[in-house]
Parts: sequence; C-alpha cells; structure tokens
Amino acid sequence: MKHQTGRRIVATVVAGLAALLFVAPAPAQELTAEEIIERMEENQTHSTSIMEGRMIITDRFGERVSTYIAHTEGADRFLVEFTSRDEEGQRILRRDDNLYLYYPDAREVIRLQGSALRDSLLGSDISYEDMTGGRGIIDDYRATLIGEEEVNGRPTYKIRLEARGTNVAYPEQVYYVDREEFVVRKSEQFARGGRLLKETLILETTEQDGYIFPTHIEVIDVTRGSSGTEMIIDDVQIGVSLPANIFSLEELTW
Amino acid sequence: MSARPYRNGRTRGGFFLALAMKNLARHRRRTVITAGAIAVGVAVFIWMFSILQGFEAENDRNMSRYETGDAAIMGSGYWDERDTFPLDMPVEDPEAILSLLEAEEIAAAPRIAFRGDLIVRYDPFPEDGSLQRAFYGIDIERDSRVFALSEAIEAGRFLEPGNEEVIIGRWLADQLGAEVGYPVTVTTRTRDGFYQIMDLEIVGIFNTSNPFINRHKAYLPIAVADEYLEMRGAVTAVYLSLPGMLPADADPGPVRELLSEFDGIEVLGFYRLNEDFAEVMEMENAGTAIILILLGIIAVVGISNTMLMSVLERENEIGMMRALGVRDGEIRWMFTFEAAGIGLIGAIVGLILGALLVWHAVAVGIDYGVLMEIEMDFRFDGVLYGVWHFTSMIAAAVFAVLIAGVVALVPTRRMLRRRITDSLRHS
Repeated sequence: MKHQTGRRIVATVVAGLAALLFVAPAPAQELTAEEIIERMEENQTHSTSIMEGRMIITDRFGERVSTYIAHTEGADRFLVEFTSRDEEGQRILRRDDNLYLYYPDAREVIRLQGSALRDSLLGSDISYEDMTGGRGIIDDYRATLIGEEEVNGRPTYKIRLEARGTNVAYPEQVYYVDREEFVVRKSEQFARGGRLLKETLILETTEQDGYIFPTHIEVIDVTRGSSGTEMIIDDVQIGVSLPANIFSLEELTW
Repeated sequence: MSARPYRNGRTRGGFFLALAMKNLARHRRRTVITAGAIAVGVAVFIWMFSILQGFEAENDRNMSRYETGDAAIMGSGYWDERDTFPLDMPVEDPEAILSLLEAEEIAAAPRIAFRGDLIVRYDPFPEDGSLQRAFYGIDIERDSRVFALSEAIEAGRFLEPGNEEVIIGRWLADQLGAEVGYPVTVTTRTRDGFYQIMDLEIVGIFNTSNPFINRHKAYLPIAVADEYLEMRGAVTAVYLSLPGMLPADADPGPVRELLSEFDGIEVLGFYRLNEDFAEVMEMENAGTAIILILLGIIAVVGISNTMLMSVLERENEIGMMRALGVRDGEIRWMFTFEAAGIGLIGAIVGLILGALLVWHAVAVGIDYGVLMEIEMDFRFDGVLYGVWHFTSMIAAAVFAVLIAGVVALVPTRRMLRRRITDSLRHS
C-alpha cells in the first residue's frame, strides 16, 4: 500500500490519528527543513486517544454533517465509527497499514486497496487514501525550507516537500509549520504539472495535557471550487485505556 | 401401408390421405380455430427469435464498433483488472506491434484508458459539479480504422492530433449542460500514481448507437493522454478489426501467432472481451427459452385438446370404419395426416404472419426509448431491430406440423382400444 504521508493532517483528524502536539518550550532557531519535519512528526505520536468529532461536507446540494467517534493507538492504528443517522454503524479500521470498511447493513468487511483507496470518504474532499499516511515524510519526500510566512496570524516555516519516488499521490506539497508549536497550520498539495490541488487549513487548535490539537480543519479541493470539507473535534481524551481487541477485524463486525 | 390400388386408382395410403384432407374441409371451423392457434404460436416464435437475435447482433456490433473492436492486445493481466483502469499493466511498445500488424494489413488502433473526475464550473456551465468518468486517449488516424466514433459526431468536430481537447457523448453533454467550446477540468493519476490535472476544451459531442459510450466515456488525443499520464509511449490496449461477418466470428488466432515473440502481452478475442454481456445474454437466453417452451406447451395442449375433441366426437365414425374393415393402423394414419394437415395450414399462415412481423422488426424496429432512461449494460440505443433468421422460421414451421401430427396419436389410440360395438353404440 502506498504511503500517502503528505496528507497526514487530514488523516490525523478524520481517522483519529490526531496530532498530539506538545508545546515546544522555545522557538527553534537555525533548524533545517528535515529537523522541523521531524519535530512536527515527533509531536504527532501519542499512546492512545478517544475523540468525538463532526465532519461537515459542503457541496452543490448543500451541507451535510456526519458525526463520529475515533479510537487511536500510536501513529498507525485507529477505529472510526460513524454515529450520525445516515451512516450509523459504519466503521473504518486501520491496522497493519491496511484499511478496512464495515457496513452494518451488509454486515460485510471490505479491505480497501488499489484504486478503491482513491474513492471519497462519504462524498467529502478526503479520500480513503488520505487516511493511510503514517510517519516518515522524510522517507518519501525531500524537504526544503523555502521561507517563513504568517498563517492566520501565526509565524510559520514554509517547507517544500518533493517526492523522492513514485509511491506517493502528491509529487509536491508545501507545509506551513508553526514556528513555536510545531503544528502544521496550513498545507498545500500539488498535482504533477505543479497545479494546486488541495489546501488544508488548521483554523483552530486546543491545548490539553501539554499537547496541542487541531480541532477545526478545513480541506478545500481547489479544482472543484464550490465544495469543501470541515472537520471539528468536540472532545478529546488522551492516554485512555482502550479495550484489548478494539483494533481487531473480529471486533470490527460487532 | 399397402401400395396396391384401393379406390379410384389410389393406393390405400393415398386414399386415407385424401380422406384426411377432405375431413379438414368437412370440419372447417375446427380446422380454422386450431390452425389459427398454431399460426399465432409459430408467428410469435419467429418474431421473438428474430428480435432476440437482432438484439444480440446489435449489442455485438456496438461493442465492436465503439468499445472492444473484434479483438484486443493488452498487457498480461490487464483485462482482469480493467474495472480499476490500471496504468501499470500497459502494452509497453505498441509501435512495434502496430508495425507488424500493419505489415499484415490488420487494422489496429492503440488507446490509453484511464479513470478521472470530469469537473465543470458555473459559467459557462449551469452549475459546478464533477462526475467520475472513463477517458480514452485515441490515435486519431488509426482509431477510425477500427472504431466508428468519428462517424458519430453530432455537434462540433472530431479530435485533432495533439490538441488539448475532448469529445463527450450527447447524454453526458445534456446532463452537464455542456456545449461545444466549453472548458472542463479532468483530475486523474499518472502512470506512477501522482495526481494530475488537465484543462481541456469540449470540441465535439458524439451520439453513437451505444448508450454506454454516450453516458460514460470521453475521448482525447492519445498524445495528450500520453504526456499528462506520463505513459512514456505505452498504451493500455491495441484494438483490432478482423475479417468476419460478425465480431463474434472474428478469429484472433493468427494475431496471437504473429505476436508470439512479444512478452507481457495477451491477445483477447471478442468472446473474452464481451464476457460480461455474454453472461447477461446467457441468463436472458435461458429466460427466453423458458418463455418459448411455455409457448410450445400451450400450443401443444391446445392442439391436443382440439384433436381430442375431434377424435372423440367422431367415435361412431371410427367404429363404422373399423366395422367396414379399415385397419387400426390406417385409421391412426388418417387422423395423424388430418392433424398434421391442420399443423401445416397453421405453419404456412404462421410463416406468412411471422415474416410480416420480422419484416416490420427489421425495417422499423421496436422503440424501447423509455427504457433508455434506465441505466443498463445493454449496448443498444433504444430501438430493437430484428434479423432474418430463416433456419429458425423453417424449424418453427416443421415443429408445428410434427407436433400436431404426434399429439393426434394419443386420443386416436384410445379410441382404437375400444371394441367396435362400443364405438358404434356411442352414437
């Protein structure tokens, strides 16, 4: 399975892999792009969490809200269960770098692979592929610090990421990493020809137990214009004890 | 039966045959009703068979003319994964293959098939929107040697080599509110999996007799697809037009032999390329066979019943003939001839009626336009045309005659088991 590490902010929130970003004690000075990315990634890893959130999808038909509860463990295990009426009982499990869907009506577990990963999550601007990213941006991308910019009033490092190989969806990304908190404030994903494809904005963050969480994210598919997806986290619990088999396939069907 | 002269110079067989024919005229109403039922059965069978054959032929033709050609050369394993439009199982060196094929005067057309999102925006379109569609990069010059797409342009023009342009189907254009000259954006993935964006102009709208094409597919020049998808000269398939009256009759064997030196490719015949529809057709044919069998049973029961009544009401006559020395076998033949005679009249009338219906089906067709609003896998454009299928017409007529004769045996046998005195007392 390809690692689409470039969109891990989206994956983080939707899938419950929230970036648990601790507040850096002091602004980093003279850091290289790799070091900034590494610090950002270090901040994203935490033991366990339970989150409740909403996904607001806006398209030409109007606005839809889907609610969910996400359980996470480490950087690459999560279980998202949708609780809103239309999607109630639908679950997404990520484990061992694989993504599984469970539909309660069909009582069927589907392993997503190949081009099916490119399908949209509930008609949003997020693809299932966006949820498969994990740690290791530097493994997949060459990072270059190309400047500093203010994003929503916050000073950020502007880092260009260029794909090292062909195992990622985006040949180029630009991350705007908060200079003080080392959280991504904005990211841009580009297509092969250099055209802007998607934009992810962190509109709000919250601090809990020394971690800084993005709690309001907006994903804009630039090519589609009128559509957009917002993700809002309403409640977060960190370091909680999770049931032993919660990330097993057996548990997925219960 | 004996061949010696029996009466008026006839043989005994000839005499009873003549008597059977005379009986047809004597019981005119019964003859007309039974023959009419047989005629309707034969005509309906002929008509239905013609339509179904026409449907299958039309589907094959539309598949061949717009989607699959008569055969195709693809990367090994590509066909099994075709629904996902993989770009990583291509025919790597299509030009070498095309040179060989062209040297053998085999018409061939390379195509690059990929999936993408067709994105339209308000002004000039009525509203923003996107649809996932299949796109095909086509070799403008070679494509028309295999496919008929270039003949189906309804508005605008066909593609020109190298231009960043696209043509779409009439159905899709109507759904999007698209017109010639409107810009669209296509997002897709390159061969290596990177996102890619293409800005294209709609230069033509086609309307083929294949509704699947009109709804789901869009075409652009192969050079544009090659550049944006970074195919590095590879294509997803090379389609072939092979000699043969119908696509299904085309033989890909010689092409397989010709290309046996090439690794990593396979040559697929029309049956394989059409397997999805073939499965549907098999189910359809099974359903049709059941209907035809039911029709046959109804006809058989009807004829049996009529013949039963006919024989029973003539029990006295049978008794008299037997009393006069006519043999049982001769009586049996007489009734069989009589029933077969009714079958023959019915079959002839049925053939005439059936031929008229088939003529109408071939010339005018049956308009299923309303059904076309429903998404279907069948490749026909709403008007079903029949075909002349003389074998089935003759078979239906012969079957009607035979079955009519055979079903008369049962009641006759029953009558012949009775004693002559009982039969005579019947009156």
